[in-house]
Amino acid sequence: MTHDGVPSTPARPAPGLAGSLARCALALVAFVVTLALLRSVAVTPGGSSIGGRVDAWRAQPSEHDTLFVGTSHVLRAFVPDTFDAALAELGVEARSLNFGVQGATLLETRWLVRELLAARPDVKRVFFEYQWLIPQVDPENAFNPRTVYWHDLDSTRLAMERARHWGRELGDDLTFVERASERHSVFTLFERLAPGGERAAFQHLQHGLFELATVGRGKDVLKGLAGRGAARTGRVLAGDGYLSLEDEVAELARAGSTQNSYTARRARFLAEQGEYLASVDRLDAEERTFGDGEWMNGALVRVDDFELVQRIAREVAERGVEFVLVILPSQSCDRPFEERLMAELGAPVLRYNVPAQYPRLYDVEYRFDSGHLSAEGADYFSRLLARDYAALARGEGERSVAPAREDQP
Amino acid sequence: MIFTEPRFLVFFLAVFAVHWALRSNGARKAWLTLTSLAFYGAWDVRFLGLMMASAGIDYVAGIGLGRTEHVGRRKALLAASVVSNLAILGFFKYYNFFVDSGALFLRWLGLEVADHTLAIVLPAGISFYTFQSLSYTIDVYRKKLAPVSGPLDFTLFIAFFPQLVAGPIVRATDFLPQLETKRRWLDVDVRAALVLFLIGFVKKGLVSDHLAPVIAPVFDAPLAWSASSTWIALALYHVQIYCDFSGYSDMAIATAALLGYQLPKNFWFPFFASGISEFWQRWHISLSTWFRDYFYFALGGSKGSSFKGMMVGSLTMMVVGLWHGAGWQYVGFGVLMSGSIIVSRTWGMLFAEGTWPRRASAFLGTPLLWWFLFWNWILFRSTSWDAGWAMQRIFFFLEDGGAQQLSPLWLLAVAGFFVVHWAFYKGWFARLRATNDWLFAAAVGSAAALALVFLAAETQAFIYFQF
Repeated sequence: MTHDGVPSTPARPAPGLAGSLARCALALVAFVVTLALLRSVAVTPGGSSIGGRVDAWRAQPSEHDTLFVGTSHVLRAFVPDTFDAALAELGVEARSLNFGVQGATLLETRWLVRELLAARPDVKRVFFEYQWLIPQVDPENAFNPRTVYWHDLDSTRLAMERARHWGRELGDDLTFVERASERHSVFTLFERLAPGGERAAFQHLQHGLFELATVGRGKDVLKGLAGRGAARTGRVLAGDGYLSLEDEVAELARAGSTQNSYTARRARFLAEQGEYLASVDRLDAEERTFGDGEWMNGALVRVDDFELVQRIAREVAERGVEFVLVILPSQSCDRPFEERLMAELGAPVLRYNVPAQYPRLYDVEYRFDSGHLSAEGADYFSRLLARDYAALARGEGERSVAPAREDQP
Repeated sequence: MIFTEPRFLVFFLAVFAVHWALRSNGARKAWLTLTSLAFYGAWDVRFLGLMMASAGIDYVAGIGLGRTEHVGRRKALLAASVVSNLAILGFFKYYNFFVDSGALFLRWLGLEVADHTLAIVLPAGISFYTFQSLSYTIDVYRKKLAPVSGPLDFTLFIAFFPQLVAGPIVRATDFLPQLETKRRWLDVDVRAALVLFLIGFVKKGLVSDHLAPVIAPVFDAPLAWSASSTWIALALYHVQIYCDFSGYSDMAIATAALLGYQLPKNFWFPFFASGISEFWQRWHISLSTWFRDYFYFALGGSKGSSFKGMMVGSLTMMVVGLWHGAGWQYVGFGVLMSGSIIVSRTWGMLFAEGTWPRRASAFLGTPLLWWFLFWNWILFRSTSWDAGWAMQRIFFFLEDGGAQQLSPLWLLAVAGFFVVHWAFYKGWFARLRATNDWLFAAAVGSAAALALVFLAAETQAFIYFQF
């Protein structure tokens, strides 16, 4: 074989079967040892916006004792300075950090909380955004690093367990979401025959194997070798994690990007306010409605997984950390499920997706787009949350509350 | 299924293990045929029938050619094979292009025409297996090859998965004889095959796939980027397209070798060629030799005057351009290549060997070739006419585009790539072939781990799949 510079191997006596197997075994050992070495030097996965922040969290001195975790709704809704100051006025001390992550999923947020709490046992409380579980894997992002990185052994096992559980519960309703480009692939034809839960569990297993083998994490290894992981505190930790969408847009504009997904969403929101207000009305009128899915593949199934949320609450509590579930002022509701959460979760639940009770949170002026609060809205919401949490902390309110009045906090 | 996807590695391990565990040659061939069809079905199971139909036509034509010596009947059989294969290829690959272009022309003349384009999906690898299948009929017609003994061998020749969707284009005369005898494991150069696979994997998964997202924004909207960014993007694409395609060929040749079969060489350091003719002797060799043997020679390019040879050579390059895709950019690519053949041959005719113009062109050959290839890459990679024109203006007149800037450090990466590439070219690594087996095994294990870790997180389709 003399293709593009690869010389043929000089003739030599062929090894016997035992010799060949021994050589294969040595190659396997070298493979595993090299992987282990590379893995040991890699920074935390998830890219700079997640892993980099986790590493910075690990490296920084113990200054924060309160964490806000969840999606971009959290990232743009909690202003730690405002929250801490409002809470202090009410007699409760807190030093909080916003750790919202854009597009985070429920199991991903659980992974994040575990990492954060394992690194810093001095945290007092975690405000956890309520999220649905999506048992399937979005095929269009199947091997996107964001989809894969949180699949450590424990998370993979849990993801597979929940996928199987929902496969049993939903049966054929746990639909097969196929990749458009592979609709006619022989693999897709076989996959269609598999039960939905097993199919989803197998996808999570693949992700777990990818993560175990550190596939595609070369950048993390290089960063680790260059010692850049822990050093990266970035702007987000420096600002206690909060960055308003207005500031984000202004920053992007300074960098030359005046048209981006944020400005597009903002423009759409301003142009379609009638639809927004109608969806707000539905929140008050209907028991169940869903209006937060513009980012999501519509074929994916969303489930309210009480057992999983309860498990996460228990895991946090077992570390001696207070767990507070927050239902954000979103466009979706499932009243019977929310009532169950408030009655049975065993941890405080603060619910804000009730426009009749919190009209200002749904005011167009307090919104950047249909899903996210503006800077002004976030400031207002943080004070509201501080008021309600302070009442809980002082033992004045119910453990699970949806306050009936929206007094000026 | 892409060679750098982990699921391919699982697929190949299963194929490999069962293949060598089977005792009879017939069972092995049946296994390889079955798995090759499954491999093709991984793209689109609907087009298996089309591939088999195309193969069936040539199989039947081959049997017919083996049974008759009548000149007229032989010509008719050959014509039936060529016409039907090209008709299938023409419909799936070129129908919309020609209909669309015709409609545009008629509208330009002021005539109203309805839209007659169809929603046609291009079957993966159709340009490759059609040419491969045609080579069989033509060689049987030319009596260079006896008709194949049974449909299993012929199906495996067409569908053999390592080369099925992006080549190398294997000749029947090279492959069919290999099917007659049982492959022996002892004949497999395992070390060379593993090294070649790893090199291909690195080229595709670690170089090409990492470069693709860097380059794409510049080609998509060149006016948003500075002129220097355009040049950097072209240099990066120069590396990317080579690594993408030759990486695929490396892995195809290596996987075939691990199953005991030899595939032809497809690349030989094309960027170190000193001119366009030499470039085509080193780039996609299986395609250029196919066109040489079945098109250029058939039109008498090698006989008669130099002028005739030049014209036929030029026509061949036009067709090679169109082979790459159904679009005016590929016509443009063919025209440029065709023109370059005329210029280079005219230069050769005007100036004798040893004269200063020839010495100058030999000295400047490689830089000129690169400049010319950069120009061609604009046609090859542009996503629209507007973007293509904008890039051409920046390329030729250094017009400045926008404020966005690709880091000049990318040029260091390009330089680093070519240093390593040059080292391979000069055989600096040849001494490693004497490494003892134990060290080699450990090195392969470690290299495989490194390759997986540094693999681009998102696999990009091979550029040549679209052809």
